[in-house]
Amino acid sequence: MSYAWFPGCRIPFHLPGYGRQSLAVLSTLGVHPVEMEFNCCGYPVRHQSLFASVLSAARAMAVAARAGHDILTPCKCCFGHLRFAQAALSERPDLRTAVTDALRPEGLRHDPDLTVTHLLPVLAREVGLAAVTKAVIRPLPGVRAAAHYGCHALRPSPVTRFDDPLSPTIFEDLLRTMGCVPVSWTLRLECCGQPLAGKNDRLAMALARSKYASAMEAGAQVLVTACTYCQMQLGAQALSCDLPMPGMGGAARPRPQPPMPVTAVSGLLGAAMGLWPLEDRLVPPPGTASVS
Amino acid sequence: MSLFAVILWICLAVCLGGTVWRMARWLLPDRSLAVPGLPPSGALAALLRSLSWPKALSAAPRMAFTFLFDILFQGHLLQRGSLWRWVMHFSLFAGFSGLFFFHALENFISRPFFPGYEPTLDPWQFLRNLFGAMVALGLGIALCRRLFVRDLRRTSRFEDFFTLALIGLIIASGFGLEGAKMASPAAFERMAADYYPTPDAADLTALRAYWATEGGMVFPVESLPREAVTPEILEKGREISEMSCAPCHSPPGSAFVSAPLSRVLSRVLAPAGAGLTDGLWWLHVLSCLFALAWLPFGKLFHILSTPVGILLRGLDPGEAAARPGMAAPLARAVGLDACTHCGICSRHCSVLPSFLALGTPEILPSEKLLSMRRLAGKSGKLTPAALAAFSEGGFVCTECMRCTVVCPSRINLQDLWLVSKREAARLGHPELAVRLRSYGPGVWETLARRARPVARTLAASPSLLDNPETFACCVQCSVCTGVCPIFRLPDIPAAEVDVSPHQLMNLVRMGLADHALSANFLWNCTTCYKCQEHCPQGIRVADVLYELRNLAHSKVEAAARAGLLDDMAARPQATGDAP
Repeated sequence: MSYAWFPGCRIPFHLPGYGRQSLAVLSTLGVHPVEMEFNCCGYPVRHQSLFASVLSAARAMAVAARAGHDILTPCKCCFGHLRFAQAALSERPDLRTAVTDALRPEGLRHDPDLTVTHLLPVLAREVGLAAVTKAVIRPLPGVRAAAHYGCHALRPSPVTRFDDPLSPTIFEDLLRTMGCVPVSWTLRLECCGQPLAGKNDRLAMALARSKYASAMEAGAQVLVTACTYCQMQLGAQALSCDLPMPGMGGAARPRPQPPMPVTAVSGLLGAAMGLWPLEDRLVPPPGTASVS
Repeated sequence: MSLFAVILWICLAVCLGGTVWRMARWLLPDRSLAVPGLPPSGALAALLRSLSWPKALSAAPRMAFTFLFDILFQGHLLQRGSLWRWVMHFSLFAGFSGLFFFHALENFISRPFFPGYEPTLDPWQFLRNLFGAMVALGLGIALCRRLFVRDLRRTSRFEDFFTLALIGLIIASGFGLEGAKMASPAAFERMAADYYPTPDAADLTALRAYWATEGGMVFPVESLPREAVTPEILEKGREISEMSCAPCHSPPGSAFVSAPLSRVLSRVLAPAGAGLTDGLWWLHVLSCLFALAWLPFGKLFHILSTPVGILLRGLDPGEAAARPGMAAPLARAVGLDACTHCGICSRHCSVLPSFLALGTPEILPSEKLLSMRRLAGKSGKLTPAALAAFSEGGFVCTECMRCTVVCPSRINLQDLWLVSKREAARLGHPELAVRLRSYGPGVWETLARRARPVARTLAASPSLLDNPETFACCVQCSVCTGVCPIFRLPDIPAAEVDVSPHQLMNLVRMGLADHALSANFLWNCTTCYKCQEHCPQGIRVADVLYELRNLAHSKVEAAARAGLLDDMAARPQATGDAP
């Protein structure tokens, strides 16, 4: 099975490291997704126009289908929206007709059988936990990690079919292969707040703060994400969105630093596989006993 | 002063004045959408202050390479574009430069620097045809791309075709002029009178016979009788030609476009004679001078602005956009002028399908940049309508940076989008969703009363809202509200959670969708789908919320198209927490 790499719009500028590291981890594990040019999945315009968002998704999927690939994405919002669009197209004939008409001039065709998958299921199910465990040569010594699931992959579960929507395990299973100790935390399946960023920053930050507090309360040393938007919202990279304005008083509005390290799953896994050194904030102080 | 000289000086003055005006705008303080912050003149001063000898020396090789490879050779078109695009633009650029420097400026360059220069001698005669043919080739490819490549046709405007037509006219009239001269007996008689001063009728006939046979001239029967062309006469003509004409005239065969053209012209247009040559000369000269005068005011200005922009652009556009330096306002001002409206960015744009579905031109980068250029320099005079149009398209951008990577003029578009979005938000035109949240029940009522009912197009057709089955089984158990992440947040104003999800479901069930649109909570929903996942009755709560937002957008877009929003847009609006 061959995959087309669907990084999503936010990777190239906002989070290039997540894209690079995910591809490095995948290729070390023998998955070599093909890099192609895609349009936006349509998730950002879903609240403005269902048709625009489903047309975007259908076009991206048709481009992959024409090249004979399935789609693999590191972003849960891309993943969730592409699956949402597949479901909408199969249950609404009027939408399907309009999308088919809009795709025809480009010689593209909607393929309902295309598979859309996410980085986590490919690592945990396709490559397999056993193979990942084998590739982990520098297990992370008992790092207590909080898995941040991300909403749009889990829900609505009949459409996304990602994992058990009420008690998923796929992320924790993967963290265990790296030697991490997954913690159980109250808000693990809740929203990061990114959908409100830039629209209602006060609520967006309140949601993010509640997530940090819940993870730290459960004793987590690191918050691990597997979604571009979640990482942008919770990680320090979010700072890059707030630009200083030259000549207008310099610095950007102060934005709280995350109170705990937040890292994307491929960064952590790559470190465990010996591809790059562990982030400084995660290296345990000398003398602490390894739990694993 | 001749008429020609008068026109030439006027056009030169317009060109120079226009160029100075256009370049001065790069430095004028202008806090418009594109260039907020420091005035670009301050940016230039900061840039110059920050320069030091070691820095300048270390940057010199890179600048020299950029100039040679990217500006003269246009190598980035090969790297980031396609072979066709490079062939197209390099032919246009190299051919036109050759014609400009060696033909148009022959009295300043060719004659002083190349002893023995004569426009009718090889290699000049051949080169002029070669350069002209290169421009024609480039024009042909450009025209075909604009006409037959769907994505480029979509963004092609009148000015794009007008520019191609103008250059085409210059080249066609030039070839026509050269061809007409070659076939013109009048030109022959004038040259013969000047350079063959002993008028011997027999010798002149011999020379005419030779030029008619070898040069393709068509003489009237009275000056060259048919029976005069004999091998002996031709031989005599050749000798005279060798002596008197050859020092300044290469055989016409090397003018590989004009010579065949002259044969066609002589057959078709022979009666027009000298008038044709004069007419073509004026057409050629006037089209060239018009192009010169128009240069600062149209897309031809990119000949000057794009190289400046390329030299100003940093090594890493992403880094420059994330952390704009002191020189950023200057680069932005130049970047706005460097666009050639080639349409490559729009062809590769990530949100192209959104444009196909919604039809707002400003969604496409090339059109958004034109819109920004129109707004530039109008600070304080930005109308709400212009800002609204910009904001409607501009905020669909997902900041994927692809346009910045593919731009042949190497404009840092990413930086322009980031800064203009923030500026539009600051001026009261944030993302549409933020504005919709600020609309109270009054606005929605007015819209419902005054606007025609929203057309049930597919883009707007609410399938869940229309169907009573959607909510029929709701028992108002409030589980949706119980699991909502917004409702568990401490310390948020009550206004943010004015209506709870189960109350919203009840409003819509009672047919009060317009009321639901004014609820703050509708716009504060994070779309996490917990409500829908947990609903014991299987109601698609989050999907209904999405549909309500779609409905609000389509109502407002329809009202804006009908001009109903103008009075409301003029009112100051609360923009919530928008930056």
